[in-house]
Amino acid sequence: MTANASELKAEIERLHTAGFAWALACCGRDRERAEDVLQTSYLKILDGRARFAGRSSFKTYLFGVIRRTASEERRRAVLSGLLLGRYRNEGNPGSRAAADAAPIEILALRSAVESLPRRQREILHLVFAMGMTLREAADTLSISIGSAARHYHRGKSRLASVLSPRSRG
Amino acid sequence: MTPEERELSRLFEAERRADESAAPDLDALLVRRPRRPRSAGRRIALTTAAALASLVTVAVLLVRGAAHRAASAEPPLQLADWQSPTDFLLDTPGSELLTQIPTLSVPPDAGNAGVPQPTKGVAR
Repeated sequence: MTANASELKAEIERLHTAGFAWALACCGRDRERAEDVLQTSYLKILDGRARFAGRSSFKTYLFGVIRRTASEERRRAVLSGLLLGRYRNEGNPGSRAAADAAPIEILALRSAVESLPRRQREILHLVFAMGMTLREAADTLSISIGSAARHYHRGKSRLASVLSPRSRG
Repeated sequence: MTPEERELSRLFEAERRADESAAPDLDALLVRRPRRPRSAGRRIALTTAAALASLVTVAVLLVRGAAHRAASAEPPLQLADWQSPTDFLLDTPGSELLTQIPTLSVPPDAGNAGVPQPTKGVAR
């Protein structure tokens, strides 16, 4: 392994747990798929198939690779589902069961987040869970800052409107 | 940050902490085999589907090619063969005089036509 690869691995190690949380968010909270996506993303970076150009922070770059890999995996699943007539968008129920033992307020949040469009889900997760700025989130999702701001505001108000009746009840 | 944003931030961070605590070991993740490799049955099904798709494509191309060849085998219409449907209206009586040289009909005894014949003293 070259020195560069060692540095990359050290960076990956530093962000590994956050990367896993992000992979879960990108894979509809399917743990099995998230691990596959995370492994593929790390191997892409370490093999040099995905190159870090240093234009953004390593976190933004890593999260972008994870998101793209998850999208590729989703497209592949849809394509093979069209060919074989069995696409399971809901993920693996078995791998979700362990994650469902979460506090009720987190379950309520997950349920509300699932009702949002994908872009809004992603931007809210990056900003609120990962503490990214809108600029960093936009770079991660490869969209303009204007689009990111629009998705953020729409997602936030929809989420607040979905969550507020539950919190009152 | 508004109270609403603070509340969302708190919930998302709680979720992230829960997810992070369940993260797999990095080294084990890097060396493990993907948990859902394509099974032999799935590979066979994919190959069969691809072969069927290729066959259907070839069949469609052949049928379309044959239809195209059949259509092109018909003799082409010549522009010079075209006739106006109202052409007959121009065919008026006597119009042949415009395209032919008129001829006078000659009687059978035309050789003596110019010589007067005696009528007196000729026994009838």
